[in-house]
Amino acid sequence: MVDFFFKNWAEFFFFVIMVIGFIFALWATSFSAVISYIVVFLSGMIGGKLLYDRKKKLTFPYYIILIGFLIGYMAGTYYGSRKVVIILFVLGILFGYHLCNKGYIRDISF
Amino acid sequence: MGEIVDLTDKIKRYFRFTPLEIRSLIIAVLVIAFIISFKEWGYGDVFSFRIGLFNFFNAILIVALSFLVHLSIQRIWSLGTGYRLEWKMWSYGLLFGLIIAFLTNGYVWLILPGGLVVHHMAGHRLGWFRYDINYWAVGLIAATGPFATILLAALFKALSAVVATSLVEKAIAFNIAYAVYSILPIPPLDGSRTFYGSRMLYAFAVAGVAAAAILLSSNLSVGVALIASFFIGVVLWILYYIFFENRAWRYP
Repeated sequence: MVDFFFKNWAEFFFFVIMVIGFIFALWATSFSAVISYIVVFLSGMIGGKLLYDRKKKLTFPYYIILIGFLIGYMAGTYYGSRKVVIILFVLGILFGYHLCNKGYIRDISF
Repeated sequence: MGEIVDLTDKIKRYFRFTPLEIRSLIIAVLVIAFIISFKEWGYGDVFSFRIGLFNFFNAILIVALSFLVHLSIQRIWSLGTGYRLEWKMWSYGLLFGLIIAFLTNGYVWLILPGGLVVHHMAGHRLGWFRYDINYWAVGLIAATGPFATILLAALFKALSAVVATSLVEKAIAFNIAYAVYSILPIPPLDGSRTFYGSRMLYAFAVAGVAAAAILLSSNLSVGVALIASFFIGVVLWILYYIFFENRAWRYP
């Protein structure tokens, strides 16, 4: 089990985050499409921060995990445009990355 | 007497917040204030920008005061023990708190603002046993934050007997929630520092804070709630030692 986790952690988190994305989308869309768009934008910002933290390190598995979240979120978005979801997620990533890269956000790291 | 003069001098020289800390604190206060005022932007389902802005401003006051007390006590304690404390915000925690606020319509407050970093002040640690930065000292510094927040909640509770307004009630609820979240053993929150500093200290801190949170939320008087929570903390601390910590070290 431990061996499996260490060899396939990216795939494991891809699946877990995809399920979380699906649940978040169902939950957010139950309120309104606007809430769903805000949540996906904020999630994108977390993704941008994650990619910034992995700057100059191994990043490919993290792209896979973020794509997993997006797939899950799109699958769960039953009310609202999926194109807008993709655009806002990418914009969120760019915005989050930009804020960290320019030094507007400098936070604690472990 | 000499120690008090020394501490006063250190506070004068090193207490002030850095520009980065102030910027981070402003961001954290605004985000947390938005989270705790999320469901108060209007009456019922009717949105009102004016009412929302008023409640948001009240929430900013509550959060800023609470953060200031929490960090000041930690900072004074760290200066007293020859360290300089730096507060850093945790953007993952703040963003996740915002997401949860939107998903739960503001009914769940996720208060994860940031954590502390301790710097060694070489000259001020001379003569101390374990001169350098050590886990126990950092754990103790971190534990003072949630204790201060609980005391602030108790102060507001005592105030509510005289001035019973929704602002005071919200301040009590926020401080209790903040103390409970702070003591969770999730890095970079204070609880994680205390946990890694000393499991015994963590056992007392988590039991005491949890008991205080429950008792201050009840109709008990403030004094009784604080004394009872202290004794509950001590009893659970001893039980933790008897049933776990004592056995953990029996067979190396």
